[in-house]
Amino acid sequence: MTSIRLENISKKFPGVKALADVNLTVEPGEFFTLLGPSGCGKTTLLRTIAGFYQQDTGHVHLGDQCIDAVPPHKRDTGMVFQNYAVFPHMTVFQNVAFGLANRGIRGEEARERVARALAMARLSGYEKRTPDQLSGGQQQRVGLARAMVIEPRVLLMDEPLSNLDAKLRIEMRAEIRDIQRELGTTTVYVTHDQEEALVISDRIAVMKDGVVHQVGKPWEIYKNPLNTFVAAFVGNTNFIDGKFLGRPGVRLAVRPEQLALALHGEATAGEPSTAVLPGTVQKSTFTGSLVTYTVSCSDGVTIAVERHKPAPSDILPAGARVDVLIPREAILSFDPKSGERV
Amino acid sequence: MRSERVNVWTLVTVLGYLIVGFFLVYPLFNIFKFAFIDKETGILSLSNFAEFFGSPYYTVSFLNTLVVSIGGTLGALVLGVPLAFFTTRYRIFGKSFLSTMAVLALLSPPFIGAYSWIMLLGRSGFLRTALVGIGITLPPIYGPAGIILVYSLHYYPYVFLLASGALTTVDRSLEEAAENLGATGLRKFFKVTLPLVFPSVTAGALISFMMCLSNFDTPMLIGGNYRVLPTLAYNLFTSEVGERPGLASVVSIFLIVFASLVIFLQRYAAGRRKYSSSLINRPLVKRLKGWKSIGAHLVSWLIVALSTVPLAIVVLFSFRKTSGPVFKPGFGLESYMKVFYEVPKTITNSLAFSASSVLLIVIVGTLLGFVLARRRSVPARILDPLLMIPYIIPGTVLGIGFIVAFNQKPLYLLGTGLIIVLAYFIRRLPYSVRSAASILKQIDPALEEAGINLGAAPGRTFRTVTLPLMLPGILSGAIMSWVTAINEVSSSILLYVGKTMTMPIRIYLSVMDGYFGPASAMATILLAVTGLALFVLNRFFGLKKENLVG
Repeated sequence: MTSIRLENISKKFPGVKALADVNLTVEPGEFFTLLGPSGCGKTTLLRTIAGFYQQDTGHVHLGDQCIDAVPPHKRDTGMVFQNYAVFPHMTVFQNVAFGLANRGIRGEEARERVARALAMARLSGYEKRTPDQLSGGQQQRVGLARAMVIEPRVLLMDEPLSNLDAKLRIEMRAEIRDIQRELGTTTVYVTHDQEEALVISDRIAVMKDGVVHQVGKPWEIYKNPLNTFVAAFVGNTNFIDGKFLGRPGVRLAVRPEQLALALHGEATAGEPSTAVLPGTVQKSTFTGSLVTYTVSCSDGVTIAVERHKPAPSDILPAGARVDVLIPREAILSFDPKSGERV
Repeated sequence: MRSERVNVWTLVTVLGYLIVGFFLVYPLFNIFKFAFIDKETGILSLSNFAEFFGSPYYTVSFLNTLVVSIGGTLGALVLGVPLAFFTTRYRIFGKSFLSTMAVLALLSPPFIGAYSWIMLLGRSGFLRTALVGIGITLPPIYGPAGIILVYSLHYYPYVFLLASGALTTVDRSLEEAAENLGATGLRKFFKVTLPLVFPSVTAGALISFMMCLSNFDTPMLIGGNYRVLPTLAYNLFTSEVGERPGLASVVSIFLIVFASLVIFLQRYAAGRRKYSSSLINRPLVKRLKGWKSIGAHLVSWLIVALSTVPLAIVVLFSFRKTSGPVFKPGFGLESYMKVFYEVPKTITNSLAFSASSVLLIVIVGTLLGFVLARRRSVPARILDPLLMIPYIIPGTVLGIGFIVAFNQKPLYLLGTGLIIVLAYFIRRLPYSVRSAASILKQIDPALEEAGINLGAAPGRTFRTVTLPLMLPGILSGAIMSWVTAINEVSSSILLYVGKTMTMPIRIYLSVMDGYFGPASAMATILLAVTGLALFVLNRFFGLKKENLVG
């Protein structure tokens, strides 16, 4: 198990600052996710670790070794690509054996290791197939088997599930997590899907514009976002101007699932732990396990409220007068200018 | 820190620069030197240019070149566009046969067409004689009319190939929308379809124009006293009575400038918005009925027939009985005997030179294509346009450049087969580099990254991942290169000596000497190997227009 240490990494592309002084440490055996919108630098950072990009400044360490000068083919990383990058002119077996051959592992040992990797990726029996006979999900399993069979020091995954359909994505992210746990290989995973990041990761780094905004365990990131960007990007958040809740000069944020609705006038007013905002239901969106209300309060403030395990009577008609109940301990406050937590 | 790592591709880039330096810059520099240095005094001057513009003998060839090039291009458009439209939009019997024949006509040396038309319509051509018998007198074939006829029938496949490519990729919905909005028939064609394929048609026309501009053998054969720039350059350079390399260089410079302008226009046309879509919503191929169907078939088959008849005539004449230069009634194999007994060396030369040049082209072209497609370094980006230079250098000019550049030590190559191989190699290099680069653009770079990530060094990744994926494209490109090399005339005619004579040159000389029989026999052999190569290409790889138009 190998740690990864990124020290003051900066990288410029013509006209864009892709990475601005990034410092990160990934612990041995950790499943670490780089999360952010497209163009945030997460893929650039991953490719810098792989050696496909050379950073302008800073150092990359694998374990105790500084690998700045190590060419990509000697870095001993196993990469899983977004568009699979499975060699179309080779069979499944040949694909998986490719990296072993480069390490001088052939014959019986190679066959055994390929068989083990394919079994882990649930591809046993597919050895002789060519990639054009495989579905997207199967091709990505080949990509995964191919990366892990070489037992690399670190696994690098660049949005490996983003080309798959929603159901398969959910299935495979669980498998990837299981395989990683079993192998114990330090893994850096890139995604723009915050839900995927929350589910799969030991820790997450949230990035934007080449800057790491927050690093933490999934629940820390969700429960305790350090700025408005993280609060908005991870999960859904209502932003409310503080003046409506008696706290002028700050920007408040609260998650929809923390809120509750009461028909107007039915709420017990004046309870100190709960703030109340009167409003009108614009629409109720029913998605099976929950109902999401869009409530417009005074002065153009719109608030989303979620109700889980809804009953039929919970689907309120548009125009219904309601009170939004906001538990005060669930409210986060931010500086409206810098966006930082106050 | 930002520069790329030094590896095998750095060496390939250096190789590219060496090739450009030795075989392009150096010869061209010599041409420029001749043009700008006064012959008597040896100092820098414009006296050669003054002499050129001072004499109508020279300036008229300037205009002549424009006349035949524009004429040939218009002809190519008139033949190419309708053929493309009919064969892509209507069900035409024998469609793929037609397009193969058109390509075959395109790849045979143009002078075979010229020579065939002379046999048909020349002073004692049999068609002319037959027509005179029924009271019709045709205008003489020698001169601009003949040149334009040959050009039109030879170069229309460029327009045809590009236009049909565009016509088959126009999104069907656009034409359906036009119909839905009330435009049908010709109105739909001129208002919607034609504007959509216009960039491709323009590109085809410009390629034809450039080919007409730099063609040398057709006007030499069928031009009579009608001088165009390439023949003028050739005559000025080789004339036995007082060679004028200075003036020949001036003409060469005009040709290069001309061609550069055309390329510039072509890039501009190609750079404009392309409308072809990769959606599968392809236009419908309609089945015509009644006289419309007959009409469309007649037009399509007539166009292709006109361009392939000259080839058929040549084949036919190769089997006629001969006695010396004269054809006799009946058929026989004398012409072939003559070829095999008297000049077998030209056949082996042709095969050896073209094969060696193809080997060079494939290796160097593929490696350089990789550098251009995959490397982002500044040297690689500068190399890209440099490697396109041969595209704008007419064969005649390259031949002149090679002669003046390689007639002294340390690189004395005159009279060797190597210089011809190098000429083939350089002339075809832009095509093969481009084609390799375009094949690579269809190969996901992530595949190479995967190879490297799995521990294969860049060279090994290229061998085990990239090359196998490129192979079909490389092979089809190699066949095309071979076909163009074995049919090359315009530079090798300057570079050959007796022992390095090739088939096209032998044909050309036989025609000039009036030995039509052996010329036909050899031309038939050349056509047969060209046709065979095209058949293999079509059968196993499918004809791709990239290989033809670069």
